[in-house]
Amino acid sequence: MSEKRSAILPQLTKYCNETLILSALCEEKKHGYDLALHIESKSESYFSFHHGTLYPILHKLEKEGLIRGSWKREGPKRRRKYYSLTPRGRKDLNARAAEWQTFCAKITMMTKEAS
Amino acid sequence: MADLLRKDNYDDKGGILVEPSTAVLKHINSRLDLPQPVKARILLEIKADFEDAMSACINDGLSEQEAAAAATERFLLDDESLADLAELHNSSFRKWIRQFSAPVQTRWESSIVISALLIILVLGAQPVLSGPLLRQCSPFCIPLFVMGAAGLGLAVHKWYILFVLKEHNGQRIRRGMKYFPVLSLLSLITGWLGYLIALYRSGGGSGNYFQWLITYWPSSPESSERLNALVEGMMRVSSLMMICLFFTAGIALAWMLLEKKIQSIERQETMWLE
Repeated sequence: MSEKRSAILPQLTKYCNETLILSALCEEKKHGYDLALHIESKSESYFSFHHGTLYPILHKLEKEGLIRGSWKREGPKRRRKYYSLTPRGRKDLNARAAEWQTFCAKITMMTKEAS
Repeated sequence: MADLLRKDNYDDKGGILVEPSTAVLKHINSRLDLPQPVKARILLEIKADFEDAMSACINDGLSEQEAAAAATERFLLDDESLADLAELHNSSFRKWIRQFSAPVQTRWESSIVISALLIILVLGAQPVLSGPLLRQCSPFCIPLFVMGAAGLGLAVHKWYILFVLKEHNGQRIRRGMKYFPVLSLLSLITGWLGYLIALYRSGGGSGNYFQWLITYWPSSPESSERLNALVEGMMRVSSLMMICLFFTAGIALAWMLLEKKIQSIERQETMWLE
């Protein structure tokens, strides 16, 4: 059982992180650091991102066409990459949100019964 | 991490000598197995975020050294993240080739390049050897062909490294580049040497024609005959000169194009240091 759980957990964490990033981008475009701060403050520090893990997720989502990265010049030498949600990403986010709600409702129901 | 924040990065008063972002990015750069310009873009992205994180820490009341330590802690990519990025951005061919060890890769690369070169030489040598070009040509053509083949082999190998394998790390990128100008120059010198020796021989081996060519224009019937012999001699060696110029220009062109690509990769490599 514990082996199964250790195999499922990283997948679940990855999926959860992706959903958090997509939902953080649904209002406006943000850069990596801003995204991490936004998720941290909105979740009242329940979710905290180590930036090192953020970039592979952002690049994966960009490659899948769920978010779009665009470079913006800030000053003479500084360039910054901003991410925004694509229409496909918005659709995916809606599907994920529905999935999460069902998932959480079922887990709550089951654990409530158990307790 | 302690290595990244070592004392050499700061002066006696705690002032910054090496930007903390540079130290972190250098560390990531050395471990991230990706070709340019993808790698440079990732590092630029991290750099901007790192600087923001550091400024935020300083605004929160931390010293520069403490802020650097906090930002470094947050931005250092672990092995798993580096592997994820490499998996995402590397081409299928690069991923496939990474399965083999470095010596095996080198052995295979050499075998492929040598085989390709042999095929080109076998296919190309027959029309050249059977045609009138080489029959009229001087023996100096042989070293020229050897240099041309060496230049071609080198160019194919560098093209494979830079464009197919996309191996853009600092140590390997310039390996072998110095041989291009050497080969090009050697080919030019060999061609000219062959040309001058052929002219010398057409003058009976006495060197008269050189002297005559420099000192006066022919006016007597005797000198007119000499002029005819000289022109014939020049025509005989013209094919040697053509081959010489072809290889010299070809090798130089390959050098220029590859050098341009390498310079662009090197510029990208240091883009995040600006």
